[in-house]
Amino acid sequence: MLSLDLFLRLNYLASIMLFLIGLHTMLTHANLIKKVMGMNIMETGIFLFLVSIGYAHGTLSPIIRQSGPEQGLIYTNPLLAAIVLTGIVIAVSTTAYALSIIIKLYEQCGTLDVDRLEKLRS
Amino acid sequence: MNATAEVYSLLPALIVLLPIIGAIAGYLVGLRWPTGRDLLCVFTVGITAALTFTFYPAISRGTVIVGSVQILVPLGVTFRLDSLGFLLTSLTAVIWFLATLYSLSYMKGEHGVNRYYAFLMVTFSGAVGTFMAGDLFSFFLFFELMSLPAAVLVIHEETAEAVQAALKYLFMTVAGSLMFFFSMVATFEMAGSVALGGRGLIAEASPVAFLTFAGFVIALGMKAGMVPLHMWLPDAHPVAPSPASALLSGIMIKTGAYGMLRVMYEVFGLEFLQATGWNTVVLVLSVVTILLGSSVAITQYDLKRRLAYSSIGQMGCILLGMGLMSERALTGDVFYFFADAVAKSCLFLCAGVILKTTGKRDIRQFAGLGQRLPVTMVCFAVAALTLMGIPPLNGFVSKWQLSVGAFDAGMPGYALALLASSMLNAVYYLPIVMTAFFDHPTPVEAAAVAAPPTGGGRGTRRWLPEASATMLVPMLVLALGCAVFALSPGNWPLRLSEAAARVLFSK
Amino acid sequence: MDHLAVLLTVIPLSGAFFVPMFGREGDRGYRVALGTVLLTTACAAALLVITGRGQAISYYVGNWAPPWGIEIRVDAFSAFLSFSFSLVYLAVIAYSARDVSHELNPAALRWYWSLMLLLLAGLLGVSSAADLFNLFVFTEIYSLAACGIISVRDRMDSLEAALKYLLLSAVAAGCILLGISLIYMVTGHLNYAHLATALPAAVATSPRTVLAAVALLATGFGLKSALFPLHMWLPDAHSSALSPASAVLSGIAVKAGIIALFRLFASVLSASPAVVRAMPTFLAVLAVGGMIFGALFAMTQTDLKRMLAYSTVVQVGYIYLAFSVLNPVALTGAILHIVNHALLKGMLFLSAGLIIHRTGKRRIADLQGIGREMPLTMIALTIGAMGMVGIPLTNGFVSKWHMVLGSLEAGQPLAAGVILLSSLFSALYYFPLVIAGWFGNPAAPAPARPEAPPSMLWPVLGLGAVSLILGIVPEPVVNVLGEAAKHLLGQ
Repeated sequence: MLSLDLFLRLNYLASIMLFLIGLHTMLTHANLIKKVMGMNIMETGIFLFLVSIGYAHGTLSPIIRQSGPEQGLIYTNPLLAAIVLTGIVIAVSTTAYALSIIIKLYEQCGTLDVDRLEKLRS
Repeated sequence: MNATAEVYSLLPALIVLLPIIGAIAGYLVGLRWPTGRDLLCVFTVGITAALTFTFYPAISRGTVIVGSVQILVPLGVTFRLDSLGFLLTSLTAVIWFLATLYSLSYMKGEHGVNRYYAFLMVTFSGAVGTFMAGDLFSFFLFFELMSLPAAVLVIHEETAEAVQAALKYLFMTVAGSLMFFFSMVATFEMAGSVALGGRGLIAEASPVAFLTFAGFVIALGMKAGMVPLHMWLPDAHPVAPSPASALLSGIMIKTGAYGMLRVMYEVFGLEFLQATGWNTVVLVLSVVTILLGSSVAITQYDLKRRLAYSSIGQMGCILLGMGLMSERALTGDVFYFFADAVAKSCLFLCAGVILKTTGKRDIRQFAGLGQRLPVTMVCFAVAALTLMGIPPLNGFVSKWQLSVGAFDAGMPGYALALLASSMLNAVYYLPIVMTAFFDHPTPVEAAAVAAPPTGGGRGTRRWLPEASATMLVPMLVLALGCAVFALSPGNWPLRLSEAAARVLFSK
Repeated sequence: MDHLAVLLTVIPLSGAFFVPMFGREGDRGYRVALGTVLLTTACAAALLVITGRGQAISYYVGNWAPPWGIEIRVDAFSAFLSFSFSLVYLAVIAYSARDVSHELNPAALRWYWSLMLLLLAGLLGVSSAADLFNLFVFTEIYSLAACGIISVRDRMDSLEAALKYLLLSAVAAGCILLGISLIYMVTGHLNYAHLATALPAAVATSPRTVLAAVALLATGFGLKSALFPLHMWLPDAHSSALSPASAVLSGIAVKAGIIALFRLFASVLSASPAVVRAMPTFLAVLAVGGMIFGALFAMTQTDLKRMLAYSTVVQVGYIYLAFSVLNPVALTGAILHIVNHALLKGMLFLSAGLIIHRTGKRRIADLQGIGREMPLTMIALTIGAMGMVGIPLTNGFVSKWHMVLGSLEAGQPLAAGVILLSSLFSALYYFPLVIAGWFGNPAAPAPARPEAPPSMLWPVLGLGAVSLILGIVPEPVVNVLGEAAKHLLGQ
């Protein structure tokens, strides 16, 4: 029972770990690409968390069949899946946009290092 | 006695509005036609001054004039004119009119004249509004309307010195107005009303109430040049053009003292202050103000700076008078507003003539001015003697009443402070007069007297030897005012002062 | 009529879509954008009329009722904010026509219009969202659009500021999303109304989770609204953007986070006593920090736009502080200040833009005597400065009055003192600017350049006129907002 519990909670643990790893990467690394990678890791952690909330062990995917659901079976929460989908869309567009700015910055300054950029500006 | 009537309820609003309209119209006219602007300004201020006197019959019957305009949230603007308010309003209007008249030739050929007149008029509106305000909120509005545009008058010369002085003035004004704002809101919160004219709004002595009192003292004391909040005054008043200095020193700092009077007697109330003894704060500070202001004045050799420090000393006397809390002292106090306003504006106008015709500010170089500028120096001497409190002049009346009031209040020690004030006034004013009249002029001076620098027949210059009529007349009127409203029988300012003190004490 | 609630966001959203299609040549992009904003303003005005009578409009998107459908809810609070934001937008768009075509190449120009409209859509969406996820989506829309507007000016400092903003707002988005999911985990709802009923039970079973969620939400929205000490992105972002964009970002976009937090606190989180105890204190401390440090930084700035940006940090502190006393009068002041600051800061940034556009000067020390060359611009700047300090007859005074009165009413004279002290600080950095502008002597003889063209001037002066009108006759607005504030606090 205990092991099952731990297994069930492992995804929560993992999502929090991912969130923190991503946040740490974003805040401490000077390289812009690494910052963007950190951002993605952080977001992945959140998505994992969201999906975990909606999922219960032994449930079906929320697809309604012609014949209707069998008795006694429950579905996972579709709302959270929808939210994660929206979140992924936002995350992808943010990433794409951040990368495009980074490319432009690199073209103009020839560096990806935040500290050097700061110096160049002032 | 305390009949309140809804008469002329729109007139105060008109009096406040007229100068603002005049300011805008004057500015626009002045872009094309300077003479027209001059006429318009003098005319507007004159009309406004005349309008204030239409209250006289009602006021002399003891009527209180109230009016209100419901446009400004949260409380609207209300006006309330009793004998105290009327005395100061009409005084302000008359002195403003004289100063505007004086400006006509003083400002001729200066830069930024258009701006000067516009802001002079806006400030005027604020000043009369302050004296007519019926509640603290309106008072605050007009106080700001007066104080902030006055910065433009201070900065007029646009020298680095003027900019510095104006910034200092602005910061302290803003700090003061924030203190006032805090106290006003706190009063509103405690009493539910900020209307003036009552017997006291705050009934309970609490820490917040004391904070409120302190806020008022700081805010209004700052404007009144009370030590230690006077730092802006000696910088700001001398750098302004002389007619503006006359108004700053003669009228505008009185608004601070006036506000203090209203706060002490109508927001906190006589009994409240007597019970708590908070008026000691004002008394102590006022004695320090008298002594420090007057002593520092002795060390100043720039005429306008000496006058500015003298203003601080006089404000000390005024603050002392209201802190004594006796009816006679208050009569003297209100009359002191009048006496000092007339004398101090006269002195600054004289300083303006001296500056304009000889370019001198240092009083050690005044030898021979008595011969070269006789009218000016005579006016100067009369006004200076008034402030010293020499008997036949009105300064004596007020100082006498104040001293007697100090004895009435059982605090004779404060009469000594008044005596010291007179003595110190003598120490710094008499040398100026003596130098001007009795010292031998340097050869250059003598030559200037013998041969007037600009052309023109000797005959005409005999009549107007020193300045144009528009400059001389205001000075003469003010000097005459110092002498006439003293012991003469028709002394209506004194009657009004008595009435004002009676109302504040006997309701 | 209910469709108006959704049209409020749909109009600018579709405008943002159509501008790049139609606005390829000439000033057609400008015309489409202006038309869109006009329509939005009209829509907001209609909503204001409807909700001003005290009824709120709830709109179920696709006719799906909550808890499954998305609800959009417009009450007096959001209608008033939407209307005033659209009004500021109108001025900014009108101003942009000339200024921006100067700065951007034609290809980038239509994207500028599109992003501006997208930003508007996001902001209006935030103020009318009634469920957490919708709130999140609109927050992201406006954040991304804001970054885009900063980076559309293809220069190194703008790009860097945009990236900084983007990364930090991604952190904020992460916090917000995590907070939302925590709340969903314990309540099973996202809709505000349902949350409010479900939250007490959740607080009873898992109070720490709710508190953690609130902390995450406060961090996220605090970052988006430049709450001290999370303000470090703001000065770079707002000073390096185009001037009209700065006006919108500093005047309006920063407020979205505040609005979201107000709304969340008022309609959802007040169900949890622990949150009600902790959050106002937390916000008040940070707000005071922002007011003091923001003012100190503003005083030391040499660049005009950076100074204005730091002043925004201070003003955000004002709003949070007034909110934190939880008093209807103070909240009225806070909401009013959101609008007043939008008007004033918009005007200040636009007049800074005028100065930069005509003279190329942006250092404060170079502005000596600028009032002689550009008197009307300087008048706008002066009104803005006076409003920021809170001089009577400007709208800043009205909001200050309410904030101080409310703080005293709530028994917090300290908050009132801080608000007044901060006003004094504002005087310390705004008045030297005004004095130098009017009375300073220019170091070099001024080039004979006239005032900016009327098409750029009137939006600026229009904002100034609205500010003064709000300062002189605030009664109607204050009445509406007073009701809205009481409603928000559940009184």
